[in-house]
Amino acid sequence: MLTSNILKGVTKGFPLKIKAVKVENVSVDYNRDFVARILQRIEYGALQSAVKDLGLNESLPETMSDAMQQDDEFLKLMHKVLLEYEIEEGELICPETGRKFPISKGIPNMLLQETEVS
Amino acid sequence: MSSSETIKEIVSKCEDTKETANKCEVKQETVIKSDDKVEIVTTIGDKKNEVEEDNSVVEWYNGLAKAYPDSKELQFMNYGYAHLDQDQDAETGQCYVQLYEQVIAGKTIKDKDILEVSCGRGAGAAWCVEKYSPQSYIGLDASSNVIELCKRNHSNIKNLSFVVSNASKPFPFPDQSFDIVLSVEATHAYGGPKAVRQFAHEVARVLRPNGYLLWCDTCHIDQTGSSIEYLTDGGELIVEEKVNITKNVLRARDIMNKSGVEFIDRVIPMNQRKLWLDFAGMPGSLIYENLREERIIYWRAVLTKK
Repeated sequence: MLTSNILKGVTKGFPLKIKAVKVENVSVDYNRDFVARILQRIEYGALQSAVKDLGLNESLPETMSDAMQQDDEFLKLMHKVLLEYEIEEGELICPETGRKFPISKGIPNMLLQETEVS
Repeated sequence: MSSSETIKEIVSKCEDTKETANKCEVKQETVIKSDDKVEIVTTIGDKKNEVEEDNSVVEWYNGLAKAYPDSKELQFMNYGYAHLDQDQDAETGQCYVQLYEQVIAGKTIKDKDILEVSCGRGAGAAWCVEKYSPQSYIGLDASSNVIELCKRNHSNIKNLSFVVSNASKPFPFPDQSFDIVLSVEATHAYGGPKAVRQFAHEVARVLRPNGYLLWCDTCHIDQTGSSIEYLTDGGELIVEEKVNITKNVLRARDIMNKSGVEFIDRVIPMNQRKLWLDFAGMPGSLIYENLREERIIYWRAVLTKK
């Protein structure tokens, strides 16, 4: 999920909506410092949308305050959401154009056609 | 990896890609240079050295990934860098990571956000992440089969991820997402000046202020501009440092010659042997001779945003 938080559609389209056909749970060793650092780059609103799009059974707090970014419980939740859900098959959808980018075997394919480039 | 002319030559002859070559209207001329030298000049469409949409290169690498997914000799696909005054170990492929080391040129990778464009099979990416501990590292490549290998081999590294995308079209990242963009021996294969300029524009867009493009590649000096000029003539990137590493690359080819030829003899069908020797830039190949005679220069450079 971490990669999907920083990919965007062709012009301004962000955040990409996610439609998942196959989601896998993976186990990743928890590294508090790594998660704390990554959180500073995350668009929290986009992450909330993604969790909602995927129908994950995780409840994220409404907002992410500075204090929360030091809280162990919150960091462990972020670790789980960002690193332990792998979208194996699905689509990323541009919110502006509706253009779909397939995800196959966990890899997003952002290849553009010639006609999509001005 | 090798000159775009050589790749087109290979594409035009390789049985697997005959269909692609036919669609591109490949023409070949045989020019007899001397008693023992024959040059085959290949033109795709009616533009020599320039292809509008260079899918032939992507399909070549897609084919290699499918045919030879596990060959350790193909994990890196750069020519390598060898120090001139030291012995180098051919077995460990030390030359290949040394090229990355040289391109990085001592710039800080630790805790930074890195994008490697045309990352190939990800061996360089995995090495960089282990050695330099960036905050995040994304490998991008237009070959979906190649990225599949990246995922298969390197998904255990949590801050390393991969995406299939075209280097000479808009990148799927917001403005100012990265501290460093790495480009190792790739821009020559993008299909000409227009593609390289588009790449440079996107690099400038996704780089943060004070960010770097760390780049290396072959440059033909008999064309109207070399790849370095195509990176800078858009006015968005400037060269901070530029080093001619041709001799080091040639030495790397010499050192890897024995194991490279052994791999080709062992794995590659006889009728493709010469193509592969050319592709790999082995001593005796056209690209090797061009580097030796400095008709092609191998540059590495550090570029910054203007």
